[in-house]
Amino acid sequence: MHYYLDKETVEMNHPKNFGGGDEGLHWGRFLAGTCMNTHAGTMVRPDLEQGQAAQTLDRKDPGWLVICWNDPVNLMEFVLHVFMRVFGWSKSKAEFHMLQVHHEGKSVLKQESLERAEFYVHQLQGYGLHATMEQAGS
Amino acid sequence: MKVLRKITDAFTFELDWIERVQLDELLRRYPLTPPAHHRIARGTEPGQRSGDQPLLEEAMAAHQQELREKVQGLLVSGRRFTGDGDKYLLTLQGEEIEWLLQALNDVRVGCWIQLGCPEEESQADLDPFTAGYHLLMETALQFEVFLLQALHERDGSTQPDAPADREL
Repeated sequence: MHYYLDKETVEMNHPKNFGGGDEGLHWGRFLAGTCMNTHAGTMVRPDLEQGQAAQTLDRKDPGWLVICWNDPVNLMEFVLHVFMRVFGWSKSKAEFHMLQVHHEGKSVLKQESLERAEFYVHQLQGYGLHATMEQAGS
Repeated sequence: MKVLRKITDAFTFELDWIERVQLDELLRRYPLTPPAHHRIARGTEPGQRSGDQPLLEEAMAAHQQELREKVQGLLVSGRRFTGDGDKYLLTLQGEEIEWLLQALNDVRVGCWIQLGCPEEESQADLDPFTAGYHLLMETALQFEVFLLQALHERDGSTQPDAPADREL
């Protein structure tokens, strides 16, 4: 099977990007903002063109990694569906990340600003996936 | 359960009475996953992040409440199900299938948590308490697979494989 991997995906999954930082999260934005209502209804995804997300990050701020972890309860087809749904990915890209979670225990799905990373983690957790975020490069 | 027809983004499913009872039983248990189950970052424990974790849990609880109201609407109204006692028809829009998937998977994950988050399902630990949760997990799985199959067929992608070795 062949996968098209964009530069962003390859860079995000480089080991140098994994760390333990987790400070500075602002979940309260979901309570005060509009994101909550998008969960079970029509999802308003922060649609960005490929590579645009990275450009929105401050050069001094490496951004936040959205990570999905392996677990023994979520079906592979379900995870594939959620990735396609939440990120608007093609099936091949979603399948790559799903299989990476399955075989390697985790996959870095996105590198985003704090607010967007929070949004995506909340979306994934709403579907019951084991998703977390951590500061890139920490 | 089978797809009877699909018009634009609306699916009409046919369920027999057992399937309707099963779906009711699953959805009545929603939500089953405690908001505290979700963690902001890997390795954090309850209470460790006094600032952010409660906000995350509050956000998840609010999401579950919103979804619960939709689930209750499906269960209580009766308008969504039509039938004669043997066969029932249920029409759902694509977005409704999405939140139904979320609710079903919440129940499935919640059962798994109740069982102690086992790495593998084991027949050895079956007792009257655990058997119920195993049954709910398996039933939720069957509905999830069916709904995913319907969505995938709509999108023209490959349908999920037969139920075997599908856990992530």
